Amino acid sequence: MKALTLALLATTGMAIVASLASTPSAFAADKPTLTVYAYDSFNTEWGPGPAIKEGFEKTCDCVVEYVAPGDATETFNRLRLEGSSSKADVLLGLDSNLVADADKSGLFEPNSIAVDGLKLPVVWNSSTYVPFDWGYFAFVYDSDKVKTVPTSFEELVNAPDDLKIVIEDPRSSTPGLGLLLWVKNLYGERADEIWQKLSPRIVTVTKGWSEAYGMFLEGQADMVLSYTTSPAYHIEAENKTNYKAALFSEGHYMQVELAAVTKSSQNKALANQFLSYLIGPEAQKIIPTTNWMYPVALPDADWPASFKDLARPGKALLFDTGKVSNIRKVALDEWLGALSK
Amino acid sequence: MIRLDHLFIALDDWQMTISLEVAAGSFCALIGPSGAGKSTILNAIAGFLPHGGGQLFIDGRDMAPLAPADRPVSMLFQEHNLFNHMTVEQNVGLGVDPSLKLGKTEWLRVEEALAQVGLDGMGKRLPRALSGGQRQRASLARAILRKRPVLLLDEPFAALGPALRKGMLQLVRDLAAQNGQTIIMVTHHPDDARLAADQVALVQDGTIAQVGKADAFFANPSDALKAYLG
Amino acid sequence: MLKLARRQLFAFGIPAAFAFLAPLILVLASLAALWSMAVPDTGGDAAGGGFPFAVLDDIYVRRAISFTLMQAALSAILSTLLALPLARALASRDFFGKTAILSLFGAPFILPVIVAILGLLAVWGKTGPVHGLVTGLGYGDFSIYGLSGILLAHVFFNLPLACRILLQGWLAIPPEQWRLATQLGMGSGAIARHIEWPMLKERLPGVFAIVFLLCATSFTVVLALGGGPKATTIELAIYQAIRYDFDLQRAALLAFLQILLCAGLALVSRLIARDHDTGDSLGGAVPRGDRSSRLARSFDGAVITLALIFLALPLLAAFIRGMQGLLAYDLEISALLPATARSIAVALGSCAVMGLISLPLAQLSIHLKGKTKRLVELPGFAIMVAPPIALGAGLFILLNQHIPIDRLALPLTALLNGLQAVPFALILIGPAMGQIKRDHGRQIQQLGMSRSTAIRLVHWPLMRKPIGLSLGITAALSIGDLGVIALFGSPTAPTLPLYLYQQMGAYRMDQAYGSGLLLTAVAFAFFLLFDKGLAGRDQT
Repeated sequence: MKALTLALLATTGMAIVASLASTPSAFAADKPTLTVYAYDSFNTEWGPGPAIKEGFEKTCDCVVEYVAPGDATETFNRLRLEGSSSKADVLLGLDSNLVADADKSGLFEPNSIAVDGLKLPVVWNSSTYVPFDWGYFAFVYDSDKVKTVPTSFEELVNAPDDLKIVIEDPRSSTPGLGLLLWVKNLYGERADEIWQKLSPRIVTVTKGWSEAYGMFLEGQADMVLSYTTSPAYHIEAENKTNYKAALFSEGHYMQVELAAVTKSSQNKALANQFLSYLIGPEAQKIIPTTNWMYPVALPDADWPASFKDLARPGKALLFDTGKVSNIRKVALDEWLGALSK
Repeated sequence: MIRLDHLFIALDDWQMTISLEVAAGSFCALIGPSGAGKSTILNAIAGFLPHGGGQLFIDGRDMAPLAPADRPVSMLFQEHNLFNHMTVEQNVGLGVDPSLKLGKTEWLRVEEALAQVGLDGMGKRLPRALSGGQRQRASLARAILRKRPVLLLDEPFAALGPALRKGMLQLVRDLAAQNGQTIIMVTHHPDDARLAADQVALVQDGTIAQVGKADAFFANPSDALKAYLG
Repeated sequence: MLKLARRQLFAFGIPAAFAFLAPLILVLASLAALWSMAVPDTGGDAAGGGFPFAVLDDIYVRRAISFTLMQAALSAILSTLLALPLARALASRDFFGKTAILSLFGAPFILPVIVAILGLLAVWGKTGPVHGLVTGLGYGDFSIYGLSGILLAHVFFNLPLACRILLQGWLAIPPEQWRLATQLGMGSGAIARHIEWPMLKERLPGVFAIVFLLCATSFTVVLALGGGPKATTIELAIYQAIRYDFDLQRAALLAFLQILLCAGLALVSRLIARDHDTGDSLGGAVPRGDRSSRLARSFDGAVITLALIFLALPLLAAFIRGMQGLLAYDLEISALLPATARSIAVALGSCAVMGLISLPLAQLSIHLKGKTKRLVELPGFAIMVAPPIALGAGLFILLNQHIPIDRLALPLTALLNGLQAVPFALILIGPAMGQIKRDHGRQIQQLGMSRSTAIRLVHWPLMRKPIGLSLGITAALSIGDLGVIALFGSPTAPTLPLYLYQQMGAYRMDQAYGSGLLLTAVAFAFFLLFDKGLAGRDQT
C-alpha cells in the first residue's frame, strides 16, 4: 500500500510539473504566439497543419499554436462560446455555407488581402473571409468491395438497404452541412422524403469527418460522405487505386473553405500575414497533398498528378451565401425530423 | 447522597416524575418490568437527558447545569462500553485522560486498575479478543480510574451467566466499598438485588412504586411488587 | 435539542447550514438561469406559447424524450431479465472463483464509461469477433451504433448491479425456508412460487427503477454510440444544442425539461423502491435441493459462463488493445501527462466538494429527529434530479458573462462530479455516523472528550472505511467523467477522458485505446489509494 501511495504521489507530482512545463506561453514569452482555431483533421501529422506551421514560423518570428475542438462547425461554435475572451487569432475552416452565421456573430474582422485573383469555380469577393481551398462533396467507396455503384443521387436513394453509408452531422461538421444542402438543392420540397429513404442505409451519423472516414476505412460502412478529391490521398500516399468517388449525374455540391481574423485578436498584423501565407505559393503547394482539396492559387502545371486525373463532376451546385442561412434552418429541421423517426 | 426530588423527565412520547434518595456509599437496585423507565432514570442522573423540572442533587450539589462529563458519575452500559478499535489499555486509559495523552505514571495506573479487575497482562488485546465478562471488567477498570463518587450500572452483566454475574456483582461491591462509591444498578434479576443491594426500588409506569431496605422490601411486598415477582 | 453554543455554531452549525443550502442554491440558481435563457423576454408577449410546452411542438424534441424513455425502459427490462437467471445461478452454486467473479461485477462501477465503450467497440464493432458471428449466423446486420449499441452498453453496466441486488435477495431468504422446502419435497416450480417470487416481488421494482433512472440520464454511452438524431436522448440533445447548434435557448429548454423528467422519475422510483440492506456479504450459496440435477447444474454453469464472457471480454479487449496502443504508438506524453494531471486535480476537487457536503449533511441528519430528519434528504434529492449536463448548462449560462469559459471548465467539472457523488456518499457515511452516535454517543459525553479528541479517537478510526470508500468512488467517477467536461472543456486543456474522446473523434483509435488503459489505471489507482489506503488495516 505504501508503495502504491508513493507511486501515485510521484506520478501526480510529475504530471503537475509536466503540465506546467508544457504551457508554452510561459516559456516562449519572447516570441508572439499566433493561435489558430482549426478543424481536427487539419492539424494531424498527415494533415496540412504541421507543414504550414513550420513554413510560416520561418517567415514570421512567431509561434503558431493550433487549437482543434472538433470538426469545422464545432470549432466555429467553440469560438462563439468563448466570445470576445477567446484566445483565437485566426479561425480556419469556415465554410461558404456558414458565412451568414459568421457575419451575424460579429466575431470577425475585415482584412485587406486580395482574393479576386484566386482560382475558384465561383466568384468570391468577401473582404473578411479568405478562401484557401475548395472541393466537391462526394460519396467515397472501395471499388474492391462495392460492385454496384450508384451513378446518381436518385440511384443512391433507391439503392438496396444493404448499401451502408456513414455521414457527418450537419450541425457539427461542414461535410454534413454540405450533404444537407446538396439534398435540399436537388430536391427542394422533397428533401424530407429523400432523407427518410436514406435513413435505413445510414450506419451512424458522426460528429466529424475524421471519425466518419476512419469508420469507413475500417469497414464499418460501404460509402462515406467525403470529397471527390479524397481518392487522391490513397493514390499518392498509399498507391491504392481502389478508393473512388461516386460521381452523380445531378451534380455535386461544393465547398469553399475559408479563414478569417477574429475581432478579439491581439496579433492582427500577424494574423493577416498568416492568411496571406495560406494563399501564397508555399502553403498552396502543401494543401492538395495534405488536406486533399483543390488549391485556390496553384498553377495547373504544379498540381500533383493524382489531382489532374481526378474525375470532375459535370455540374457544380452551391447556394448563394446570403440565402443559405435560412435554407439551412429549414433543411436542418427536416433532417432532424426525418432521421429521428 | 443522591437525591431526586420530583425529577421530571420527558421523552418523545412519555414522561416520568421520580423522587428517590440513595445514601452515600450504599448500593441501590432498580427493578421492574422492561419499558418502565429504569434505564431512563440512570440516563437522567448521568446527564444524557435534559431536566424537565424538579431537582437532582448529588452530595448537595445541583446537577442541572452540569454536562455529563462534569457530573460525579460513571455509568456502565449494557454494551458498547469499550471502543472496539482501541486496545483494552487504551480504553481504560480514557478514564485518566479522555484525549489519551498519558505519561508513564498514568500508564502504570492503568495497569494497576486492570490488575484490580483481574485483567493483568491483557492490556494490549483488542476488546473482541476478550470474553463478555472480561470486557465488562475492563469497563469497570476505567470506572475505577475515573474516581467518581457515583457508579451507575445499566444492566452491564445482563448477558453473563448466573455464576459469572454473581462474581461480577461481588467485585463491584468490593471495589465500591474500597473507594467509598455510591451505586445505583438497574437489573432484571430480583436475585441480584437481594444479593448485592442495600436498598431496592420498583419502577413501574414512570414512577417509583415501592422503595425500601432490601430485606424489608422483599419481606413486605406491595401489590405491584407481588404482581411483578409473580 | 438544537441549542447551539457559540463554539458549536462554528464547528457544526455553519458547515451543516452550508452543506444543506449549497446544493439547493446551486440547483435553484441553475434553474433560474435556464429559465431566463429559455424565456428571454417575458415582457407581455405571451405568443411564445406556455413554457415548457412550446418546446414539445418540436418533433425532434418529442422524439428525444420518447427515445430517452424507451431506451431506458428497454435497458432496465433487459438488465433485470438477464439478471434473474444469473443471480439465481450464483445463489445456487458455490464454486472456486465465485468471489473473484463477484468483485468483477463491481468493476463496471469504477471503470471509466468511455473505456468500457472502447472495449465494447472492440468486441461488438463491425470488425470485432462477435459481429462476424452474429451476421454469420444470419441474424441480420447488427450494428453497435444506435439503439442496439446503447442497449448493449447499458446492459453491460447495469446487469452486474441488478444481479448483485437480486443475489442479495436470494441470500437473504432464511435458510429455514429452504430446509422446509426440501422437507416438503417442493419442486422448482413450487419453490419459485412460494419462496422466490415473494422475494422478487419486493425487489424487482426497485431494481427496475434504479436501472431506469441511471439509463435515462446516461450521457457518455449515448454520446459515443448514439447514431445521430435517431438515437438522441434529452441529455445528448442539450449537449448538441450547445456544441452543434450554439442554440443556448434550446439547450436551456431541454435542460429544464430534463430536470422535470428526472424529478418525476425520482419521485416514482422513491414510491416503488424500498431500502434494502447494502451489506456486501455475497458469498456462500443457498441450501436448496431442487437444482442438483445435471441439467440444472449445466444450465447454471452456462449462464454464469456466458455472463462472464459478456462482461470480461470487453475489459480484456480494452486491455489488450490498450497495451498495444501504449507500446506500439508514439504517445504524446507532453499531452497525456498534463491531461492526467488535470483529471487528478478535478478528482481531488470533487473529493473535497463531496466531503464538504456529505459529512456535515450526515451529521445533521443524525442530530435531527422525526419529520425534520426527512428534510435533510432534500439536498441529496435536488442533486439527483438535476443531472450534471443540465445543471452544468445552467451554471455555465449564469457564470459565462463574468468568467471566461476556459477557466470555468475544470472547476465546474470538479464541483458537479463532487455533487454527483454526494448521494452515494451519504448512503455509506450516514449509517456509520449514526451507529457511532447510537453506540458511543453517551460514552463520549461521559468521558468528556472534546470534539477534536472524539474525532481523533473515535470518529476517524470508525469512519475511515466508509469515508475512504466514498472518496475512492468519487475520485474514480470524477477521473473517468466525460460529461460536463465534454460540454465545456477546453480543447487545449483537456482532461484525460476528453483527450481520449478527441482521439476517438479524430479516429486515432489505437492511441485512444492506449489512453483508455492509462485512464483506467489512474482511476483504479486512486480508488484503491482512498479505499484501501485510508481505510487502513482492519481493526474492528
